[in-house]
Amino acid sequence: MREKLKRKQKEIIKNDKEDFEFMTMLNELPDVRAPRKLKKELYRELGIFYFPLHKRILSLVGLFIFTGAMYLFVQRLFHKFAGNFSLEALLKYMSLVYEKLLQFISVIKAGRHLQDVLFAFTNPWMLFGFSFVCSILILVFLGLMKERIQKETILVKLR
Amino acid sequence: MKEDINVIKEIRNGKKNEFAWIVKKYEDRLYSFVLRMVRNEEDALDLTQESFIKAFSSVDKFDERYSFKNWLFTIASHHTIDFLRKKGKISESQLVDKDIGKPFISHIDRIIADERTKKLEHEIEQLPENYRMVILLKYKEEMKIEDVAKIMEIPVGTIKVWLHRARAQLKKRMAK
Repeated sequence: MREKLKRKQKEIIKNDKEDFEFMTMLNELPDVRAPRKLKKELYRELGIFYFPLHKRILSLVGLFIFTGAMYLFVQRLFHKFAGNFSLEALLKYMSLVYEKLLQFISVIKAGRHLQDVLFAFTNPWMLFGFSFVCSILILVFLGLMKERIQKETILVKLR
Repeated sequence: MKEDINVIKEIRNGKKNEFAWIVKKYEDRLYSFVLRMVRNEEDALDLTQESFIKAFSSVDKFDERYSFKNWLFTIASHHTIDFLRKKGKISESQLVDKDIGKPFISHIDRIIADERTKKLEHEIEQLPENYRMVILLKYKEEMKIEDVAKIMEIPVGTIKVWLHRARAQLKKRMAK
């Protein structure tokens, strides 16, 4: 009887141990890493702005490197040109730049007018009309010139 | 250390970006649970996304007295059950199941090195859906039987029976 009880007790202990092991195994089943697009699509859908830590660190490091590079560049530039620097020269340079800019703008304006003229000549009637007007104007101009030369000759003769 | 409930309060106060913390905390667990239930990575991804969206949109309805994790898993479980039901109907009516014969080569197989755990994973996969859900919620997610019953909307007694049977089946198959 006692042996039977002992055997039963052993069996229960063994079963409990197995159960425990089994439950631990179930509990320790590994989690599957969710695909990256889950978060990406989810945030887009929910309108959430999320800046992960590693991206924040990378951005800060990037910004730090950029700022450092800019600082060094400006410092070198300043040292290079600091010797030649004077207010008068700067103003002169600025006015020169302004003048060049105005010239550039006027060239662009002239270019636009030229474009209009060219467009006008693409129409044959316009070309014909323009040639007609031009020839009359030239004739008138020549006539006037002739008249003026004659008047000048008369005046010379009178003197 | 942040607590779920504090984050939920912040979300309710308009700081919706805080939901990212919730997603980060539960995405792997929820995705794993759904993946083990539906056995298809794309479906699992969609269902996990939908569950998070539902949780976000109904965060005001969450009762702070209860566990947020359980609430989130309730949403995911309902979505999963609906999905499996629909899928069942479709496959019954069409007599064709596209996923039959499609090997379930998931991340799970790739990350589990231990053969015994691999076998367990495989055996869980073979269980009927209700047994699988009960086992996963009870042992993997360490939920109380009462909570599992609430999540699955099934009496506690039935859950206990399912749990007992699922455990017995698993043990028997594992011993083979």
